[in-house]
Amino acid sequence: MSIDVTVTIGGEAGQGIQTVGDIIARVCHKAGLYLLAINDFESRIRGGHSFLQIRISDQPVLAPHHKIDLLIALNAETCALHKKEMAENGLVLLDVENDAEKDDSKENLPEEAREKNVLPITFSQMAKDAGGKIMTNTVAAGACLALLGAPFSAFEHILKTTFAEKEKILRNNITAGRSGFDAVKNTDFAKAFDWPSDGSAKGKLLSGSQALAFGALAADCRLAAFYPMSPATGIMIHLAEFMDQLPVLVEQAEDEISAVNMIIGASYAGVRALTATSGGGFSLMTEGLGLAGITETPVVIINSQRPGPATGLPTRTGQGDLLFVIHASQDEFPRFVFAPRSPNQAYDTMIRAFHLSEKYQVPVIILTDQYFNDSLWMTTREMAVPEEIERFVTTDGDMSSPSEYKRFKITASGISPRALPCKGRALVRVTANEHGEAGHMSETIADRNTMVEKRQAKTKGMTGEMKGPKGYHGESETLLVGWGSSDGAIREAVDLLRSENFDVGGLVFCDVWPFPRKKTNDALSRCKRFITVEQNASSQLGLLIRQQTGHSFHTSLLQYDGRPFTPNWIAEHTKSVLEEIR
Amino acid sequence: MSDTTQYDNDYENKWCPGCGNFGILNAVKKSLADREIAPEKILMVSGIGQAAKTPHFLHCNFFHGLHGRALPVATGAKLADHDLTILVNMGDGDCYGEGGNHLLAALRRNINLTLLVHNNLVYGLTKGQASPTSRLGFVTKAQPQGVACQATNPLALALSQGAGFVARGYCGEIEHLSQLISAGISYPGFSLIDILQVCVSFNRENTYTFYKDRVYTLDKEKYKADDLHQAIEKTMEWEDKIPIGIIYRKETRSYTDELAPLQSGPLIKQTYDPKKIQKAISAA
Ligand SMILES: Cc1ncc(C[n+]2csc(CCOP(=O)(O)OP(=O)(O)O)c2C)c(N)n1
Ligand code: SF4
Ligand SMILES: [Mg+2]
Repeated sequence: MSIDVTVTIGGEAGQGIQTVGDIIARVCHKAGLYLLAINDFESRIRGGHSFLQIRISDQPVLAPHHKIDLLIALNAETCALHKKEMAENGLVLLDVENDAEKDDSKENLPEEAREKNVLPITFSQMAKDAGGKIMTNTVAAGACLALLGAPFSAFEHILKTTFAEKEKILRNNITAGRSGFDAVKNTDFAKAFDWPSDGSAKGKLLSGSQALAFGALAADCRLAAFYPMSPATGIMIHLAEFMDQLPVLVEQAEDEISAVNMIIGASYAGVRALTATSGGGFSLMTEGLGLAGITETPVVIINSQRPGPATGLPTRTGQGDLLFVIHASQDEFPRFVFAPRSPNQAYDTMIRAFHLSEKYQVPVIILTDQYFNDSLWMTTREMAVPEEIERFVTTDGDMSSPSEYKRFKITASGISPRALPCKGRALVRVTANEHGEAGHMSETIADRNTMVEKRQAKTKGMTGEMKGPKGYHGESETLLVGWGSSDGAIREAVDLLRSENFDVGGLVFCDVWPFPRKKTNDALSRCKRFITVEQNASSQLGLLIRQQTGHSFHTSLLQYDGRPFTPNWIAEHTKSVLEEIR
Repeated sequence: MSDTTQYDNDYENKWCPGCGNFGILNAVKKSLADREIAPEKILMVSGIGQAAKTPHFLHCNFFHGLHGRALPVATGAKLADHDLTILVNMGDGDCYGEGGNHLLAALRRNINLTLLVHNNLVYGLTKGQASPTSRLGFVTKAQPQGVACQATNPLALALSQGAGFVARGYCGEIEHLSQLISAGISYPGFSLIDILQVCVSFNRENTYTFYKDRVYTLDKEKYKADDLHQAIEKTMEWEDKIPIGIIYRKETRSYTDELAPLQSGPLIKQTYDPKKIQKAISAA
């Protein structure tokens, strides 16, 4: 990467950090740069400390960086909090009230934050002069872009699309942006770079939540029922934006128990249905998950993880639910579990999830996390909508005698032809109780055994659908093994390590259940050792691999502080492990 | 009036002889026959309990779900296809206890479902514990000193939440009950029919004799069901005289009429249009 700059905007919740970040991200995106923006906020609406961190590059950005090159501090506290993360030549722009304050602003800073690289700027004063304090964000964005070396025209263009219909507001914002831009004109910034001149966006800029919502639309999801819970709510908000143009209904349920039962009812009646929640809500859904299991009703459930147990850290990230979702609900029934590695894969996984859930008539769980959902990513390829949707539904016309239709007819694959209620003469009888083929309750030993075996029989076909973990320099001596959204950080860590001549590769799972045993065995057979890299405290994937393949991890790098991985953290810890072996 | 035998099936009934559920089952059949709804055109959704087994004893489509959760399942099915005619069978524990929050939500949503609560004032299937409608002092094995909390009044609760169709039936008045069910089915919003149901095994107080001495039918001529305050008063009658009939009914629209994506027809009938979706995603 010849360009690799990290900009952090920090301040109190409610100060408009998001707006500054959005403008910068959009200017960079439009100019043909790559970026990743992560959101770090507390579970509160005002006050506290929040920040948005944007990493900008001329190459695809896979993970956040551990060092800050440019810090935009909307309050003094931000300087203190991020001082340790500042890069050597890093620069801090500090918002100060007025010129008088400017002189002694450094003295006013907490001692540990006083350093030569703090540049006090009267952001809010300049905004007031341009027409209103509300434009402080525009001033700050202007200063930041100027330091990065952006042409003012690129900034102006984004302001124009933002305030397209409001001429006066636009004019004021351009003035505000200009004053921020000019204020730092003569300041040297070590990480300023030459902006690409071709100016075509390299991909779509979107959040993980959006990618999931788009995938649901492309999969022909018609009903999305949910109960609000961070970090899953965004998915539903994005889906709701389409309610006036596409046949999709977003229904806010009274609780998660209702949400999951609603989608089971909707799917039984014949439409594709989705719910999304986090661990707490998923816990409430577990009985419903079992209902989908025993009634063989296709549903898709997204669990966007946050650290727990119970309420845990509501606005932060984690990977603590893997073993939970694989085993959730009493007794046994087949299910799919996927943990997409990237926004593109999340989109594809939604389409695949709906397809497989109807093909096998089983619930599908998609594991994401706060880091994935709330970050702004760039897609690496187009998101295509399938031409057709295969529904795996049977009708009277397919049957020799519809009146004898049996919803749970025994077949070799375990999959019974699925008819929809009230669509013909075939009656669709379904129960949460154990049942016979016709769908009536049954307690006979024969029916019980037959139905358990029928449901289990699907596992064979389902396992065949599973893709193995994706290798990155997968033939290496040491493999870093992880799952889901840590993919990017693991891959960048591998690059760092390889550049220092460590024989290290990566192996990252998306498809986790039914466990792709053979493919995992193959992928692990060549390495000398593997180290698991996970955001939980027990290495859940490592335990699963050991249980399923007999291969044991050498050690694990575990982080459970609720913050996303950085490649540097993984690389440094890997080095310590490898140096110990030497 | 058409034949009720079309709804019979040969699945073995599992209720105790003399159980009030038989009367309710017959009333359902009668109503369906009267309204000429063919077996394949009806969807029954239920929770778990003796009441919730009802759909198994009918020739129909059914979804016999989880304890307390029939209303969300029925709501999901209705949102997917609002052309469906859906009847929901729940017990008093099922509906007013385990599923209480869903009842509150269903009342607010006013979605076109007909809810039949088989109210036997006790938990039948789990062998006789107190239910939310068991009276203060009701003695059971689990409450040997008697129930220490007051009974819920589901009809008053529903009225206080803006319910548009609230009725009470009695398992011993089959013809009357079948008419209530028919009225519920034709009501465009959510209809709650609480049905006094005798449990011969676990409720020795609220017997056929108990009800015979107390139940009276609201006179359609004299009792006007559109007066909310009068209706609330009616729901307070219990000790000596117990009214059955439509207690309250107001004009309404169904929830599904209000929702933007359903304006071009039931979700299930709308077509998948990849080009439109692609365009919408690209523009976002
Ligand atoms: C989650 C859950 N909790 C408890 C039960 C056990 N259970 C089954 S039916 C029932 C209560 C039955 O009472 P009611 O709803 O009044 O129905 P009835 O049998 O009286 O018709 C209970 C507690 C269950 N099946 N599921
Ligand atoms: S226990 Fe009561 S409610 Fe259940 S079948 Fe017997 S009489 Fe009916
Ligand atoms: Mg009961």
